[in-house]
Amino acid sequence: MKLLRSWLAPAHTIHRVVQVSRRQIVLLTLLLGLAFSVLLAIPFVLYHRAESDNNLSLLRAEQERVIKLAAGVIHQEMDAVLSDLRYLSQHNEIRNYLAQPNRSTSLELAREYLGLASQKQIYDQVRLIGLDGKEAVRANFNDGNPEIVADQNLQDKHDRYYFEETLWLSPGQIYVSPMDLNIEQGAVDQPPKPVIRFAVPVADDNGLIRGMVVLNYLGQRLRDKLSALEGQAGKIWLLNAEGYWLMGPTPEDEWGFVLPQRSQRKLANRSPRLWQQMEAAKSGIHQSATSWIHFERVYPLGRSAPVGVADFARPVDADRYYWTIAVELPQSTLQAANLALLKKLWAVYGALVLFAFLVAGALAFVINRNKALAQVVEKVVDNLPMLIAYVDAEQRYRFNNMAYEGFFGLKPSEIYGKTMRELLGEPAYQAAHPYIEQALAGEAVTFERQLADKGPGMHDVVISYLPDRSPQGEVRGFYVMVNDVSLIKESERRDSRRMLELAHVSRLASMGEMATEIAHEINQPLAAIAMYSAAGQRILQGDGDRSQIATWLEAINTQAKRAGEIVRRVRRFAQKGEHQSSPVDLGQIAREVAALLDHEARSQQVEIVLELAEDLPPVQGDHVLLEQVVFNLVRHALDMLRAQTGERRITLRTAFDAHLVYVEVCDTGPCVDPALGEHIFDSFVTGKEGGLGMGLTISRSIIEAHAGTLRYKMNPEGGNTFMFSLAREAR
Amino acid sequence: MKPHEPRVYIVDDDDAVREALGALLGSVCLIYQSFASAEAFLAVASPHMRGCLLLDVRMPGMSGLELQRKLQEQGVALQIVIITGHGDVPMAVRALKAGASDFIEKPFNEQDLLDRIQTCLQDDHHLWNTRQALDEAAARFATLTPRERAVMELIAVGDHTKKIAAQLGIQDRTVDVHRFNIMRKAGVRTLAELLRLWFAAHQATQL
Repeated sequence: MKLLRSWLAPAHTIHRVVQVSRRQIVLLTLLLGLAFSVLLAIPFVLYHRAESDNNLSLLRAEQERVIKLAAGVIHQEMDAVLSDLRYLSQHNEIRNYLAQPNRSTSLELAREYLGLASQKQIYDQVRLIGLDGKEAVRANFNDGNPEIVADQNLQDKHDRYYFEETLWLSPGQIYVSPMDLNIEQGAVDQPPKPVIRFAVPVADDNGLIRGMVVLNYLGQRLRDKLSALEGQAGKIWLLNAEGYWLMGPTPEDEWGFVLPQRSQRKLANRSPRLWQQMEAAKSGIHQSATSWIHFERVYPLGRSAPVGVADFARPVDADRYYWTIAVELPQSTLQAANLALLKKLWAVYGALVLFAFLVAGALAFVINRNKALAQVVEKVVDNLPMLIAYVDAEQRYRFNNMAYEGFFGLKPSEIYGKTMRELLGEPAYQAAHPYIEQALAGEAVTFERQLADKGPGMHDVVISYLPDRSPQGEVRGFYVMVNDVSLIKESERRDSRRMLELAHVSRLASMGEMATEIAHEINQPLAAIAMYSAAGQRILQGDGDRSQIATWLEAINTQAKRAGEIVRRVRRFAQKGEHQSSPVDLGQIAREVAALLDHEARSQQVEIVLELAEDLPPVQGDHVLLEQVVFNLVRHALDMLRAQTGERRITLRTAFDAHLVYVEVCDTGPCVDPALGEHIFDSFVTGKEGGLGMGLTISRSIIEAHAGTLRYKMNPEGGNTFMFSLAREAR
Repeated sequence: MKPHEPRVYIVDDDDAVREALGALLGSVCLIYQSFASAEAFLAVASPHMRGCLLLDVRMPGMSGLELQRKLQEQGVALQIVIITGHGDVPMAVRALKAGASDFIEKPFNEQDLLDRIQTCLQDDHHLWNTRQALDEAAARFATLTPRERAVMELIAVGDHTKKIAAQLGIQDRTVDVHRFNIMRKAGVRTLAELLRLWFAAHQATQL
C-alpha cells in the first residue's frame, strides 16, 4: 500500500505541484470508455451472429431428424398393419369359416378377432364383411374393453366407400382408406376418432372371393407416436395430399375435409406459398415471417412390398397415397434462444464495459497527470534563465526552451530540425565541435566560451552537453544547457580589478610605512659614497697615501650599485603595471622579500633565515602580487616580533610535492590572539598596534585569486606560521 | 688610573659605512678602531677608554641605546656621537637624554662629522682634566677629620659661624679654627672657592 502510494505520488517530487483537472479526467474517461465499449462490442456482435446461425442450423438439423424419425414411425406402423392384414386374409380360422360358415367357426373367428384387438390395441374394429355388405364377424376394441359384437348388432355397410372400393379388388390387393374420422351410426364419433380402414378381399380355398376383412386402425395411435417426437424442433404437422391437416398447428385446424364447418381449414388457405412449394417439391424448407417449416412427403404404403411375395396383398395406389410431414419451428422459439444468448452476452459485456471504464478512468488520470506534469516541466524549463535544448545524434535540434529562442531571436520553427552547424554558424560550430564529439561519445562535457546573441552582444557562457542514452546504452543525442554567466564574469572581473587596486594601494601604504626604513637603507650606501669620496678628496688635496683611492673608488661603485638596486626593488614592488600570469619562482620572491625587508629586520634585531628548496618548480601567477603576499607575511611577522623579548627570528621556507608548491613564513614571536582565529584574515581586524589590518586580507585575496590557499597555524614551540600553497605549473 | 690614548671608536653593522668612516678618519689622520657590533665593542670596553664613540643606533643584536646604557654602567666615559638614519629623531633624543654628546643624521656632511668628532675629542680632553681636578679635590676632602667634615657640611648649607657653633655645641673660635684647617687642606683661599670645590668633589664622588 505504501509502495502504491509512493508510486502514485512520489514524495518531494514535482508530482506534488501538479494539479490535475477533474473535469478533463471525467471527459477523457467517458470518451475512452465509450471507445473501449465500442471496440469490445465488435467480438460480441460477431459471436452473437455466429451463435444464432449455429442455433438455426442446429434446429434445422433437428427438424430434419424429427422428420426422418416421423417417416420411420409411419412406415413401421403401416407395415405392422399391413402385415396383420395379410395374416388375417389367410389364417386357418377364416379358411375354416369360409369352408363351413356355421356358428362354431364364426365364434372361433370372432375370438381370433377379439384376441387381435385386445393384443394389438391399435385396431378399433376387426371385421369380416360379406359380399352383401353385411358384417359377418366383428370385434370392437371399445376403448380398452374389447368385445365381440353380437349378431343382432352387426350392421350393413354395403353403402360405405371402403366396401365398394374393396369389392373391385382382386385377391392380394389391399385397400387403404385415407385417414379420417370414424363415423358410427351415420355420425362422427365424439371425441373424434381418427381412423384408417384397411381392407383386403378374402377368398375361399377355391379362389372365390367371399368377402373382405376390414381393420379400423386407430389413427390416434400414430398421432401420439408422432407427437412424442415433438420437441425443440417444433410442432409436427401431418398433411394429407389435399393439404388438410391430419395433425395441425392446433386441433381446430384438423380434419377440415371431414368436418363441414372446418372445410376452409387447409394449408392452401393459410399459407398459399408453402402449399405451392409442397406441391412442387417432395421436401423443402419454408421460411415465413413467423416460422421455419421443414417438410417432406412420405408414402406410408410405399415400402410394403415384402421380398418374394411381390404380388401378395399389395396396397393399391401406393404411389398416390401420400402424406406430408412438416415440422413447424416458430421464429419465436429461435428468438427465445437468441434472447437467452443475448442476455448472457449482455451480462458479460456489461461487466467488461464496467471494467473498460475503470481502465479508462485510470488511463485518463495517468494521461492527464502526465500532461499536467509535462506542462509544469515545460513552464519551468521555459522560464529558467538558461538556454536548454536537445540535439539528436545527427546534431539536429529536437527541442528547445523559450530562452533559447529569445537568445538567438528565432522562432521555434527556425530551430527545430536545424543542425547545430546551421544554427551556430561555421566558426562557432567548429569551436564547439570537439565537445559535441565528446558528448556524442557519451561523455558529459562542460566548457566556457563567448557566444554571440541575436544582436551585437557577446555573452560569457558555460555550456554543458549531457549525453542521452537509450536503455541499450546507445547515445541518442544530448541535452544542451547554456548558462549565461556574463554578469558573474563581469562581477568577477570587477572584483579582480578591485583586488588589484587594493593590492596596489596596500603596497603603496606599505611603502609609506617603510619610507623611513627605505630612506635609512638607501642612506647607507649614500653615506658610504659620501665618505669615500670625501676621504679621496682630502687625500688628493693633501699628501696622504694615494694608493687607497683605487680601492675607495671601487667601493664607491659598489655602493652606488647597491643604492640603485634598492631603488629598483622598491619601484618594482610599488609598481601598478599590467598584471599578468607567467611562471613565477617563489624562491626568488623569497630572496627578494628578504632583501627588501633585510634592513628593517636588522634594525629590529630580527634575523631572517632562508630555507629554500632546491629546484623549486615554478607556479603560474603574477610576480608582483605573489611578492606582495610574501612581503606582507614577513612584515606581519616583523610586527609580531616587535613585542618579543627573546629570540627574534623569521624563517622563510619553500617546499613542494607532486602537485603543490608551499611557502612558509615562521616567526618566533608571541602568538596571534587565539580569539582572533581565522578572523586574522578579515579586513580591519588587526592584532598589532598601528596596523591597518589590510595586509593579511589582501594576501588571502591574492592567493585565492591564484586558486591557492593561505592558512595560519600556531607553532608548537611558540610563534606563528603562515603558509600558502599554489599549484605547480603544468609542464 | 692610567687613561688610554684618546681615539675614535666606530660601532656600525654596515660594512660599507664602517669602512668608509675609517677611510675618512684615516684621511685626516685620526686614530680609529672599528667594531661590527655592540657586543664586539662591549667585549673590549673599559673605563680607561678615552676619545669619541661613533655609534649607529640601529643594529641587529644589541642596539646602540643598550650599548650606551651598558657603557655608563661600566663607567666608560666616552663622548658618544649617535649616528641615526633619516627620521630617527625620537631615538636620537632618547640617546641625548641618556647622556650622549651629539647626534648626526645620515647622510651627513663629512666636514660636519669631523667637526663634531673634534669637539668631542676636546670635550673629552676637558672632561678628563676636570675629572682629574675633582679627583684631587675629593682626595683632599678625604683627609678631613670627622669634626671638620661636620663643620664643612654646615658651611655648605650656608650657616654662619655662630649658628654652626650653637648646633655642634662648640665655641665660635673652634669653628673658625676648623674652617681654617679645612681651607688649608682643600688648598683654597676664599670661601667661594671652597664651596665650588666641595660641590664638585661631592658630585664626583656621587658619580
